[in-house]
Amino acid sequence: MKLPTLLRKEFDWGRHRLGTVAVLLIVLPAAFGVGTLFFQHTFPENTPIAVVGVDGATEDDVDIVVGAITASEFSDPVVYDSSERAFAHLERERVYAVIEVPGRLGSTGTTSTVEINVDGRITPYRVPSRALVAVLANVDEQFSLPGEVTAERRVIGTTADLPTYLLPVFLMIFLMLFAFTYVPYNVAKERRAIDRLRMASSVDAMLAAKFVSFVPVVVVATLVVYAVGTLLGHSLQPLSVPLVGVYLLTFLYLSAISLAVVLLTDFSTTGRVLNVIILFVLLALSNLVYPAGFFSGWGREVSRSMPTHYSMIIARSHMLKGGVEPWAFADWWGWLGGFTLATFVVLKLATEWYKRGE
Amino acid sequence: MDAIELDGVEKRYGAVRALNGVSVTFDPGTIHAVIGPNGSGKTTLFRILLGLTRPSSGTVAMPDATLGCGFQQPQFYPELTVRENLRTFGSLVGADPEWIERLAGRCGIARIGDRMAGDLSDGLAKKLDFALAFLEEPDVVVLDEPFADVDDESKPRLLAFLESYVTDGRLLLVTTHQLGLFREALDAMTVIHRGEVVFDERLADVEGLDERDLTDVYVDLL
Repeated sequence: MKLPTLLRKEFDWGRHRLGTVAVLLIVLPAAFGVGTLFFQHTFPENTPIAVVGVDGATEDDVDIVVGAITASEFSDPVVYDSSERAFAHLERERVYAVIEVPGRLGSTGTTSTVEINVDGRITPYRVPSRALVAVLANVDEQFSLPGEVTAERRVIGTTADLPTYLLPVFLMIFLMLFAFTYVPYNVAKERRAIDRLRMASSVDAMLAAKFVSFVPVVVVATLVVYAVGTLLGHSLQPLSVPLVGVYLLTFLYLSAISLAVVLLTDFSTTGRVLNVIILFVLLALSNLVYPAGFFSGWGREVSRSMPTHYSMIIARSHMLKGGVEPWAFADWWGWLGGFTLATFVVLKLATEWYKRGE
Repeated sequence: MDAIELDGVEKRYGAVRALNGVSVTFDPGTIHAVIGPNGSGKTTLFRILLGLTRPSSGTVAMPDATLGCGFQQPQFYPELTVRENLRTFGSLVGADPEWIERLAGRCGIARIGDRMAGDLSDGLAKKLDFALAFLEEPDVVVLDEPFADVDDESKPRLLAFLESYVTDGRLLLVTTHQLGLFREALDAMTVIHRGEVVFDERLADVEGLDERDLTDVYVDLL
């Protein structure tokens, strides 16, 4: 009977790789378990929407609408003091609807119309937002107002169907997959010649060559996805430098992270597992497809701390929305640029650590 | 070129002391064997000389010289052909293309230039690694078990190449378990045991060595 011997061999293997086994059997399952907390609703309870008073609306008028939305548990109302700011935030996906509340809401003998503005390109919220019409159309009865209140939903911009909406998302997911699987795999192959390479050149030069050789790959991938989308008849904005640039920048900071992991784990399998874990974490927590707060309140906060969340919004805006100025996201570009720089500093430190660690 | 001088070099990996106070001088114009049992610290010593590992303490005085190395585990790109490996590393060190051609011929890999390096037998892989060590025509060559897995027919040819290569301005450091093969070529020998130098002499200075096999001397020391 050979089975006991082979089982013993498996035990010995595990004993020598306690770190990997601990990650695979404890950390990873635990992370998946904890990850379920991110998904608390199948209803956008915590998705932020702006409520703003117009036409002389008072605080009481706004409060009525906020109260109705809060009671319905459909989205999370945030009061804005200016329509301009509210719509600017709608454009940047900081909110997913702008509710305009008129003055003298539900006053005797009047018919007030609450306007619900949603972005036609944000498909996962555009359709569910119809529920807001039902919620706000009953405000007069709910709050026993003497006048009549109606609700109207207005879709801003062209409407994108789900395949169109998913095009920039799938490209982002492809690049994330590329950065956390193929890039580490490709660089790990250098291990077979790393000592000779260090003598003839340097690890830094090797990494620089990798980045330079991967840049065309990212550009081509972006062009291919864009071309496929165009052939499929999706309504896309003209290809632009910011669009290609945001995918490139995202690829650079994600690859810098994955390569730092490769070096810090000495090109080991543990590093590859860690990179896949990071990929899953980013995919799950960045709210690439659904609006921030769609699944939970804390999920909204977590996604808003993820650089990939901002990359996705910028990419989506430039691919799907017309009239987006190149400098529209200047503050986020600055933030992402700083983050990219930070990841390259980490990569440099990891390189030095690798060289010292031998 | 000046000599390479190590003074009180120590290398620790956690609680393990791979080298313990190693002081040794490697003179130019010599073929110098560094030998010892498996795990005695030879490879660690070579890695320190090559700048791939930093000593925990002690000093290493390296002359302003070019370095080449043949590794215990051959180091090249398995997914490139033999010729592409020679070209890639040759280009990195600024090697003369004509020298690369001649070198490939001397090392017996000229006819397998189009084969993928990853498909080579262990012996051919070792020969490719051997050739890569000499691309830059370096002043100092460090070879870690250069003839492991190499066929018996090729060994004398490669040894003759080594002897012709080492001139007054060059130094060859070699670790080997095939002392008999190197006996006639060696100028000096250092024996390392458990991280310490237990023998370090020019062979010409050792009395009665002609009558004794070098391997016996080494084994007696241990």
